[in-house]
Amino acid sequence: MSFPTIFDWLERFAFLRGYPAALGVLATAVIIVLAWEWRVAILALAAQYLLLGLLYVDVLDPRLAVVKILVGLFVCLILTITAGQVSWGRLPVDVLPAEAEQIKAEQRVNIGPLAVPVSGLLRLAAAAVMFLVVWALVDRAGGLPLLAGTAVPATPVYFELAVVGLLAFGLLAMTISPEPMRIGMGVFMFLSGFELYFSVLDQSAATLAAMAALNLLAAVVISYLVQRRYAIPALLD
Amino acid sequence: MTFILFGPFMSAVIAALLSRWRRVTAVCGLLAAIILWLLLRAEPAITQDKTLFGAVLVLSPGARALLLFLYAGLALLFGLALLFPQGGKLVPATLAAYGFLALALLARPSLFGAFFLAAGLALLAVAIQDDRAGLVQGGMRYLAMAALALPFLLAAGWLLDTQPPGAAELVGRVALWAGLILLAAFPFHVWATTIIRELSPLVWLLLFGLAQLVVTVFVFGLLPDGVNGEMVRLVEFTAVLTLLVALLLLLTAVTLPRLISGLLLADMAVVALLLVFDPATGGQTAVTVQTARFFSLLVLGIGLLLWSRFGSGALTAAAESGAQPRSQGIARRAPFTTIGLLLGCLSLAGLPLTSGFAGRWQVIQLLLRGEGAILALLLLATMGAGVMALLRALPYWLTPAAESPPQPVEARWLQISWAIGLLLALYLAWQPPTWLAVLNP
Repeated sequence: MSFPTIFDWLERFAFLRGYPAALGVLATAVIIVLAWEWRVAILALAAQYLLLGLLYVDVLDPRLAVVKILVGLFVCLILTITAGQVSWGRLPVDVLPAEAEQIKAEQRVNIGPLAVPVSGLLRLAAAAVMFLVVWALVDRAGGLPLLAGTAVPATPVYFELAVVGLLAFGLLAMTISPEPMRIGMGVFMFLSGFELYFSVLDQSAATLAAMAALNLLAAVVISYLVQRRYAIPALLD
Repeated sequence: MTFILFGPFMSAVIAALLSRWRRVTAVCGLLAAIILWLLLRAEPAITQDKTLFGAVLVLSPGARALLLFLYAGLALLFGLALLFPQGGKLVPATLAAYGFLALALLARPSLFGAFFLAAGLALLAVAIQDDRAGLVQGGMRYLAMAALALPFLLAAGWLLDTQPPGAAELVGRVALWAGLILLAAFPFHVWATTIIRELSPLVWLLLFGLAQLVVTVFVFGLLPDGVNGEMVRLVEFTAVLTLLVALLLLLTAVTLPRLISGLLLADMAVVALLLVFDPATGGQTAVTVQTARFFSLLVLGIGLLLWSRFGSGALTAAAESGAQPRSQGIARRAPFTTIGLLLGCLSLAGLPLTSGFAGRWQVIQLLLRGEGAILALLLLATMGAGVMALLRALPYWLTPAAESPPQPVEARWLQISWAIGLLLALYLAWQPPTWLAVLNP
């Protein structure tokens, strides 16, 4: 029995290439913005990197696209370990709520069996508006505005949908929450959106390596900041 | 050359290992900065090429002069961190960040420079946080700002390296966006005020003094000779908006952090305004403004660090937070520290007889030569508002407290040190090229 190659995997997931992958990327972006549970958000980020890999195949050599996926999964791994170290954003078992003045329990409203945080409803409204903005921008077409006028190769609409969606929801995640983990995920979505677009312009291995290094460096910095935010002295400060 | 490139990273690792002992970390950083400065000074003033991961590193005379200035600045910063201990991560994060920023100045093609610049700015987020839990958000915001500027930096670098000269206008347009975000903190003005309010003056020096200087040189290096009318309007709009925010802060300032935020934002708007002039004139003036800002923040930072021992940040009695008016009569108890603080503020405002004046005067002349009379007036108004805020505070600082327990008084050795320092600051303001000659033999 031989282990399937990259090309075998691509063949198996051929049904997801194109629009389904772009819509999947958009859906995971919405989940990352909306999910109040870190585990769900990190899982959605990992799924997003996998779907992005299918989009990268349209512009990059599949072996390079796999490198992008691996870097993304490493980012998720770093975030998962960090999140685990800080009790997934909750109070550690040996710290009482009264002691942790920095962490205030978020107000929740019951919607059926779910206790949804109030900020979740606001995020839902913001995500809905952002979704409409993304749709309107892509629907207007005519290529992405940043480099309009240059000899940038034309890209299919689903590609632009993924790029604009990631940039927009990345920005939203960066601005809508004060939590470092959420801002960090916004940074990664924003970087992914730009990276996807930039891969159309520059497919060199050096750029790919530099982008990978930058992503990993950002993951380390964000993890460090998340740990500082939820370290016990910070909670008791 | 190899040590100059990798030295900051090696010393960052050593400093991180020693970060438990804050003064020892500061000594480590100080020694690293001095050694790097000496090694760089010994390098011949010719262009040298070295390849790193496919990027060619060019040590041009201009880059060498700037790096000498940066390492001298870092030595001063770490020297101050020795006297006024900071968090354990300031020195290692700063060294690593400046390792990348130095590479950004040397790397060709520009795309690699943009990557190195982004990496350096990302690491500065750790320096901002500096082991203090309450500052995580400040660090994250800075990281988000760097991430937002990254697409523009990379796109500008890519265009510059790959597109024909006819695409210069587009390069300029993209680079200008990066410049506006990183140099004018557009639209992150609130972030700048938070940094001033929450962080140590040494971090301001690091971010707004040294790091902004690297960003300035990098962004001006990307700009073409001419910028189209639409972008000129955008830059002017940004600058006007920043100046208005600064003016508002200065007119309503009742505390020192608010006053300093206003002065700093006005200075940032000045650099943003220069983005529309041709890169040779605008870039040189921007470097003059930035280096003057470094010296202003240096004097202001030392003044403020010492000031906190004698008084609070209140400009008026109503702004005092405690029961006891700590700042009342401070100018009598600590006259030299007060003069130092005033000099730092006036220099940041760009008043004559201070190091900030030369750059500010050049900007006003450039604006008046073009069609920027209104902008020049607005700039003068912010300068005036800064002076007025200080004048409002002076009576309070000069009036001795009626009945209060004994408060700390400036020591004689401190007064002598201040006197020497202030004379030096005035000399540098009078003879600005002197230090350039020392740094670039």
